[in-house]
Amino acid sequence: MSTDLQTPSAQATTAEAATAGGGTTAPHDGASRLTFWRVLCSEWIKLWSVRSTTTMLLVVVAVVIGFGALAAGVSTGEVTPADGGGGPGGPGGFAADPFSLVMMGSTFAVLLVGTLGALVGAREFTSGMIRTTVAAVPRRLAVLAAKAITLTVALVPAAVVGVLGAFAIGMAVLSGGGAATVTLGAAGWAIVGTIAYLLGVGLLGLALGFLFRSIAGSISTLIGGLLILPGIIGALLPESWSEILKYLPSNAAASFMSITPPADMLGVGAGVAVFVAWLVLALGAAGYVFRSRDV
Amino acid sequence: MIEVHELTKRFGDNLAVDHLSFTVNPGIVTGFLGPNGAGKSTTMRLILGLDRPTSGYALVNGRSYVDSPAPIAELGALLDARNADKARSARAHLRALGATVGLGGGRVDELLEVVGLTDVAWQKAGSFSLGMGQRLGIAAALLGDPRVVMLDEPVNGLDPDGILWIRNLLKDLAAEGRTVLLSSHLMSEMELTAEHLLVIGRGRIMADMPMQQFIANATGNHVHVVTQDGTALRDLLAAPGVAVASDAPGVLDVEGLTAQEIGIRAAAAGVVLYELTPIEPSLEEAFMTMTRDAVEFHGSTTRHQPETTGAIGAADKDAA
Repeated sequence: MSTDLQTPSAQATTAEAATAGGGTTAPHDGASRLTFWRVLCSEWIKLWSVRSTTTMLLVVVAVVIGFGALAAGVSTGEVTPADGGGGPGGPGGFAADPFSLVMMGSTFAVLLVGTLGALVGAREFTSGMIRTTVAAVPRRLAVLAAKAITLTVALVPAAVVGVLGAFAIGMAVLSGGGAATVTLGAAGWAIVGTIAYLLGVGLLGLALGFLFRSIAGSISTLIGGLLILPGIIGALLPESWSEILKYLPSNAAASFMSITPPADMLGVGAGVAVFVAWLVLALGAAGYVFRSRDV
Repeated sequence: MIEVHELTKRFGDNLAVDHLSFTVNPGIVTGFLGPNGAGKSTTMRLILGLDRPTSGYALVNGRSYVDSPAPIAELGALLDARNADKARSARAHLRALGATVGLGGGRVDELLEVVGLTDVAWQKAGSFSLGMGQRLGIAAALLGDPRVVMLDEPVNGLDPDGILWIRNLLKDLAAEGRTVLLSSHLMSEMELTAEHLLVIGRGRIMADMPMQQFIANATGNHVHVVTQDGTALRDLLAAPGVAVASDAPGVLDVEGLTAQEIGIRAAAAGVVLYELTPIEPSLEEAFMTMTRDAVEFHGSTTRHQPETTGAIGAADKDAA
């Protein structure tokens, strides 16, 4: 079959090889074709074969529920009914309505979820594993996509259990202390928003991991961008510039993480759009950079 | 088969691979030789698509490696045994790799057995010694039963048993009709394993020929003689074009005469010989003779200096 390739006759051979589209070489016995599903399987194995994944996810659940219950307990009797106020991570800081109160833990969970994302994104670059990965899966965007999907699938149960658990336990504590509560029906979309924010932050961490190729660099950028930058910009820039604060990822997310969007933030629709835009931007940049750089 | 055509890779001002063209044929072990920094590893990375070539291309079994339908079944590579996640077990590492072409735990266990890591399959790769890491890397390279095997310094850190094992393994793989490209800076090992040689220096091909021819081309045939009377034999052999060296009384190293000629002359003069051994130059000697005059070859020492400063200059410009 390959005798005609004995002497590489430059472009003709390449063109033929390119258009042949895999006709010449059948995969070996046992080995099958590389497909996106198989890349997903590979990334799934990788994700769960390092202990930090399970640990981090368990800690996320514990932190979201634990801090929510704690905050509810501490503030019993002091909360006012849900009528707006700062969401978690927003410049308002400490929550003032029952829902935001029991979701206290999600602010801390953001750090953990973002760190997990950054670990998934950057650890292969720091260990050199990425070369083994790209040699096995030369289609690099498939690697990034598979990492994003497997990370999200792994985060969903932790985020759902954590947020719903915090809501149920937190509201029970509030109600037991005679404080105002909100119903699941009223908080439905805010709960979905909070879960989505946690997933989104995981993906932001992943994208930064691919961009910076360093665990420390991506984690500090993520924490700086989500938690510190809003405060710094708010403090340093003139009042008239405060409009841009709304467009930072954490503040955009604050609009869909509370029952009523905070007064000084974007509306729910605009908040979702801005946050998704940040995600698309980060993952797009990660994909572009990963595809074009040598590994 | 691997075909490399006019492959070029530039890092800033440094031309790491310079219009390299060669073919690695199936059925034999091809040795890839060259000093550190000659471009061996970069060439392998370009073949795998880890680095993008500045120009030129590389084909694996007739097509670009990145277009392979089942990459690790097409070409198995060991570039650096440290290219594994230290927190992951050897078995999980191979499971993740095998999953890309649908290979399951059975095949992984088979390979762990082949490389002798069965007992430590569940240990983290980070706890492995250099030799064990190397075995894991070799297992990863062979996992997909690839038709082309490309190993960069595979004997690094292996014990003598491991070195013998990999030598026989590579020969067996070639005998099965696979394409085997092996880089090593251990000349003696290369001489025992490879049938064909690719020698590169400063990113360019210096030699592309069978091992036997490469060694035969090199001058330096000499004869080791042990005699009763070293002084007499030395006088007997003295002639233009003949060099006689002696490390010890009665022990001569003769260049420029064959063993036959020395024996005839000694017999005629009645000089007793204890030993008369023609010495073929080793690959190492052949390599050294070939490269002695090629100033360009010594990339990492003599001529590299100005380039390094050039690269720093470029980096400064980038930073500014």
